Amino acid sequence: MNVTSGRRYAKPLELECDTVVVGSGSGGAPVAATLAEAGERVIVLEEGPHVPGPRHGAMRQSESVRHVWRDGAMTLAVGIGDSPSINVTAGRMVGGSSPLTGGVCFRAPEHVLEEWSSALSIDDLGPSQMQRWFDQVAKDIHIEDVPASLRSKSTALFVKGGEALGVKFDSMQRNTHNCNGCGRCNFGCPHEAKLGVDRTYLPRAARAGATIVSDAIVERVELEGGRAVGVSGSLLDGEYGAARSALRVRARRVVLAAGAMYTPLILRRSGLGRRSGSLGKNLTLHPSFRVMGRFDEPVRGWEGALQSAYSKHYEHDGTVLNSVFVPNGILAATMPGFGKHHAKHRALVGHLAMFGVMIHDEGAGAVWRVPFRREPLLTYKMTKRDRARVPVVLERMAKIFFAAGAREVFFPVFGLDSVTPDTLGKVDWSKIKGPKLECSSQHPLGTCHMGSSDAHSVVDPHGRVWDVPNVFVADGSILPTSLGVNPQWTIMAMSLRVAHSLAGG
Amino acid sequence: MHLPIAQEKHDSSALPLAGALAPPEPGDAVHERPRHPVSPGTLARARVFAEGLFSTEDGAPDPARIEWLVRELEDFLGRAGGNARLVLGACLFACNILAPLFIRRMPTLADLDPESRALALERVEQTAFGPIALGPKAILCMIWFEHPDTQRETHTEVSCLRSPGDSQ
Repeated sequence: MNVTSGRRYAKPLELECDTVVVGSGSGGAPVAATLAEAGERVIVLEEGPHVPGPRHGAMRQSESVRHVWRDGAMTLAVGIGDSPSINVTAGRMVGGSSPLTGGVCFRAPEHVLEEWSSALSIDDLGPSQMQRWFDQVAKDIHIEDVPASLRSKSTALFVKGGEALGVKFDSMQRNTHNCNGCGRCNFGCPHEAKLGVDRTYLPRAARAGATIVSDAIVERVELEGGRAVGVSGSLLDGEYGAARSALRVRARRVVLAAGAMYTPLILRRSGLGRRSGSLGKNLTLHPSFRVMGRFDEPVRGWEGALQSAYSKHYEHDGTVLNSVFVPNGILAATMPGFGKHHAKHRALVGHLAMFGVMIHDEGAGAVWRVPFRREPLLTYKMTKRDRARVPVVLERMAKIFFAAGAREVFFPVFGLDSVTPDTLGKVDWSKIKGPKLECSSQHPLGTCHMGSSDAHSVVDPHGRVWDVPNVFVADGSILPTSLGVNPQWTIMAMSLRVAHSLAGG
Repeated sequence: MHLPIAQEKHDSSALPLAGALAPPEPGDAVHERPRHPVSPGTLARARVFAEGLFSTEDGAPDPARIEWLVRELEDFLGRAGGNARLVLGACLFACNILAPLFIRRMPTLADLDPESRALALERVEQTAFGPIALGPKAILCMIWFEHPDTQRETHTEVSCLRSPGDSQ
């Protein structure tokens, strides 16, 4: 037993270690493994429960959502002005969101790293300097190409349509081993083929002596004489898992890795990170949209790898096309209508193909602390540049589906009926306001962003919070800008970089 | 601010360690944990919403399947956290009050027959209030499609997923 549940302790708990890591996901786990293997006494605190892979993989999709997705997948970034409100999903379990990803791994694009190293004057974030960290992560979590044979028919049809129009697609890379393409990566891998941090860095950390405490929530960093002396929070051992007993961990170093939604809240409650005025701001989400095409033949898009192909054909326009699929029930829910009208659409689910698009957005969101509530309020104002891209890319995707033989296409617009090749040009996008767009995100980033000066950033180039010598951040919140691609590989690489700097290597 | 630290102190080295991540102790598995109560009003409004959503040309959906759906939703909301209960409860409440107004009817969705409920909710969906209908629609549809009868009817049997209850 190397994960201990906070629910076991009916009385307040006090622990002591060298480094306390707050959060066990893609940011915290590499830090925990690195420092534990360097001989430090490490404690990892995780708010969510410990659900081992086989047990998670045996859950129905809605069971996974109710038990280990934050807020039952109902977190919303409230759209401001002409922006859509965005459903932001994340994990809340040992492993963070890592056990819930599609496993997609992209290196941060070179132009993004070049921007970080030149415009932000952080020399060792350049492509050549970051190479070693990306390579190390690739080895640690076994990143491999998704073979074309694992592509779902949904993906294959879209790729076929794209290629007919001259749009080039490539195979994705994922952190998997022996994947059989059963297509339910977001709800726990039944075959334990996905190598999330719960299968890689966390067991390594535990083998090296780290302690992982689940069901333990951190509220603030404790300070004495201008230095952190640990963290405090609560064990979730109350009725129905509510906070009850106090938790305190004394440590000579604190590493926050609670993700871009929660790390800024912990810093704010602790009175840290506020020098630049940018704490909690600069939130980027990679707003994502899904388009569905209905085909005459059965598609059964849930059979095959959930995510397997992508296209950067429109990268110059700030958009990346990604293969994706969602549970059939969610797929049905996004189709228009209620009652008999919806029943007609429900019957089509097996004939629907789906593809997604992700926008490389500018930082226009924020995380706000709400009095008397633990959960933050998220707001998001899509920039004019990003908002203008939405109808353009949705139309492009519809044309791709039609080129593949789709009879009709469903856009992610509330209440909008399907379009056919004849009616596509009649959609009046100027009348479709932001709040009517159905938009989702799995990539909150940037709310404690890194920089070379305390005047405009929250953490220094080594992840240290500017105003205290021994508090560090190692998660998606430190990324200076959005990536335009799935971020888990970059988050792990950045965390390894922070960890090795702490370990003196 | 310092929290009061208790009487009982533990050194981290005293906690159980080592090996690959082991399963939780008996009784600590998530599905065995007690769930938060869900307000009967929320469940009643969910039933009304679901009867409208899943009505067909043949009329109201099978009551037994609706009963199963509401029981599942109760478990879902009892475990998904306070925010989920708040958001979904608010969406259902708003739909119950607002939707009839879109077809010039009063006072609540519950007072309409399933066909009229569907029409009213469809009108909500077509306006800027669409997101308040999507929340309950998404959760209810996700669960609905896990029922084996739905999977048979829609030819969406999923080979990797087990039948309801198997994970228990």
